[in-house]
Amino acid sequence: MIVALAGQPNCGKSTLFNHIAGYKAVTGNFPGSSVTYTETHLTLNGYTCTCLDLPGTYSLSSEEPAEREALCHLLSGKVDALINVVDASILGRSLELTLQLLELEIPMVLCLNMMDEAERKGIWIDLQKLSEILGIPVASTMAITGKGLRELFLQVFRVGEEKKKGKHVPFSRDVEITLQSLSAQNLPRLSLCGKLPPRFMAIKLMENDPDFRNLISSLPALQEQVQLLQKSLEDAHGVAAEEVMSSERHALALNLFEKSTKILHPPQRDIRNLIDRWVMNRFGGYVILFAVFLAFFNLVFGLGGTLEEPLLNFFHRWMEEIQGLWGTKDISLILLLGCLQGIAGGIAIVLPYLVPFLLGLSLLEDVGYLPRVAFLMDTFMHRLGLHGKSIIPLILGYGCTVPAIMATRILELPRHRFVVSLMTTMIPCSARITIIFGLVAFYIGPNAALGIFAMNLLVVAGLGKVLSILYPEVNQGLILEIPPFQVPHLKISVKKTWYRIREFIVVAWPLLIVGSVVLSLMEFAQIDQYLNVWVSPLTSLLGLPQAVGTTRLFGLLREELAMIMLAQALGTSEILTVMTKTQVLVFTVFVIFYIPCLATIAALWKEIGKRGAILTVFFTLLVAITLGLLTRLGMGVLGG
Amino acid sequence: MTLGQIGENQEARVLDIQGGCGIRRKLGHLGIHPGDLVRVVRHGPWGGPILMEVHGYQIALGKMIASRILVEAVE
Repeated sequence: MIVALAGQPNCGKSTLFNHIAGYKAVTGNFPGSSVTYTETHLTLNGYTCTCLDLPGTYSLSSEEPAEREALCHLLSGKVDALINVVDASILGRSLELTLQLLELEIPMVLCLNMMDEAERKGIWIDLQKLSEILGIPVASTMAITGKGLRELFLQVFRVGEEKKKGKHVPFSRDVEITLQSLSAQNLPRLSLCGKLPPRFMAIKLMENDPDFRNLISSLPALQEQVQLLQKSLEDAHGVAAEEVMSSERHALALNLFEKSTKILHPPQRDIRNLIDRWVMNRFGGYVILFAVFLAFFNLVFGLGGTLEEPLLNFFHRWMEEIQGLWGTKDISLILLLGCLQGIAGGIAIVLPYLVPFLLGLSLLEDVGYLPRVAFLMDTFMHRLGLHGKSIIPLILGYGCTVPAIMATRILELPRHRFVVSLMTTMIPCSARITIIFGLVAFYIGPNAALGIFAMNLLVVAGLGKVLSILYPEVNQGLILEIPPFQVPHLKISVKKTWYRIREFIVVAWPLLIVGSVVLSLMEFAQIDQYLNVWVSPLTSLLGLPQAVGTTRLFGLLREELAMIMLAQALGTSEILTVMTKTQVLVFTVFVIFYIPCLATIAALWKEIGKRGAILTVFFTLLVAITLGLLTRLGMGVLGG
Repeated sequence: MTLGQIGENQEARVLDIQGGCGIRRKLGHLGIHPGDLVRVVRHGPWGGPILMEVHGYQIALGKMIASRILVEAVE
C-alpha cells in the first residue's frame, strides 16, 4: 500500500514523517523537476506500506512547481491512501486544502497535528463532528513527540483497504449547479497525470487553472461552455469565477471550523511572544542575528578545526606508511594514493565541518529562526531586486557552498534561484576563508583581511543587482508565513542532517575521489608542468608566479587544499620570500571569486541545470580575472 | 486606506486586494480574503515588510503587497 502525506507548509508533516522514517528513507526528485519528495517503508501490525512525504503546498493548483508535482502524483493513481496533516491551531485555513484533497476521491484520513498549540490558543476541536461532516476518520497527533501516530496509521490502513472515500462538502447552490452541469459533460476521457474525477476537473476548469485550461484547448465546444458557465457565475457574484471559487472554499472552511470547534479562552501569551519582540526588533533583531551567526560559525569552525588536523595527520601517516611498504613509485601506488587522498579529503570536510554545520542549520530551521531572518533582511535584499528569503543561502555560503546552493530551493522563482546560486558561489566558503586568514591576515595584516571581506560583500551585492537587472522577473515581494517558535526535537534534526549529508556523499564525494586520482596521474606523468605553461597567459596577466597555475587546478577539486598546494608549488612556506604583497592580494582576490570547486559545480548542475552551471563557471572566472587585474593595477598605483 | 497605513497592534478588515489574480490567489492560499479581520503586529525595520496576524497565524508581507491590500480600520 502506498500512503502519501500531504499538507500545508509548517504543519509538521515532515516532522511526522521523520518520526516514522528510518535512516534509510530515500530523497528523490520528481521526474524532470527539482521538487523533491522523501520515501520510506513502514511496517505496523502486519501491514507494510510505502510512505511518501509530498512537498508542502498551500493549495492544489498547477501554478507552482511544488504544488503541480504534488497534485500530479496524487492524480497518478499510485497513491492508495492519503494523510492530510493539518496544524490544528490554524484549522480554519488548513481545511481549505483538506476540501481540495477530498475532491481527489482518494481514501483519506485527516490528521490534526500540534494539538497542544491549539489548546494554548483556546481552541477545542470536536473530532467526531469533523469526521461526520467530511466523511473521513480524524486523528489527533503530536508529531514532535510521536503521540498518536500509531492510531493514525492504523486508521490509514483501514481506509486504504476499504477504499473508503470522503464526502464532497457542497458549495453554495448556484456553484453546485454549475459544477454539476459541467461534470455531466463527457469529461471522463480527459486525463492529467492520471484519471481525473469529473467534479474535480469541473472545479479546476471554473478556477481557470492553466494546466486544465490547456487540457481542453482542443475542445472548442467545451471551452465555450466553460466560458458561459464562468460568465453566469461572474454575473451572479460580481467577481471573477476563480475568485468565486476561492471565496466559496474559504467560507466553507471557516464554516466547518466554526461548526466543529469551540473557543474556550483567548490565546495564552507565552514567552515566545516576548522572544519574538526581541528577535524581530528593529535594532535588537540585527544584534541577535549577528550574534547567532557569529556563534554558529565559531562553533562550526572551532569544532571543525580541532577535528580536521588530527584526521588529516592520521591519513597522512597512513599514506606515508603505504608508500614505504610499496617501495617503488609505480602507477598502482599513484592510483591508490590519489584515491586515498580523495577519501581523506571527503572525511576531513564532511565529519569536521559539514556535520556540525548541517546539524546547526537543521536546529535553526526547526526552531523557526530562518523565516525571521528573512523578515529582517527583506529591505536590504529588496534593494538588490531579490527578497528576504534569498539571504539564507547567502549566509550559508560562508560555511560551504554546496549546502548553500541546495538551500536556494526555498526560493519560488527559477530566476531568483539562478541569481542567488551565482551570488552564493562568490561568497567565500570556509575553505576560501582559510586562504584569506592564512595569506592576507597572516602576511599583510588583519585589516587587509577585513577589507577583502568587505570588498567581497560589496562586489557580490553589486553583481546581484546587475544580475537581477539582466534577468528581470516580476518581483512580487515577500509573502512568507512566520510560524511560531518551536522547541526542536534532536532526533528529528539529526535525521534531517543525515539526509543532507547523504546527499553530499552521493553527489560530491565520488567526484572528489575521481578528481583526486586524475590529478595524481597528471602529477605522475608530469603534465602539471605543461598546465602551468598552458595557463601562463593568465598568471602573467595577473602578475603571479607561473608555478601558482596548478594550485588553482587543485583548488578546483578541493578548495581546502589550495593553501597547502600553494606552499608546495612555490617550494616554501615562507610565502613572502617568493611573492610580493601585491601578488598575495591578487592571488587571494582571484581565489575568492574564481570558479567554485567541483563539488559546487555538481551541486549547481543538479539545482539550476547544465546551462546555469556552465554559465556560472565562466561568469565567476571573468569576475575573478577582472578583480585580480584591478587589484594588481590598484596596488601598482598605490605603489604596493 | 491600505494595510501598510495601519499602525502596529491595530486591527483592520480587508476590503479588496488590488492587482493581478496571481497576488489574489497567493494571498487567498494563505487565508487572506476580502472580509477577513487582520491585525498588524509590527512594521519591519527601515521600510521592511509588515508582519500581520490573520486567523491566528502570522504572515510577513512585503511593503508593495501590503500597499495593494485595501482595508478599513477596526476600532
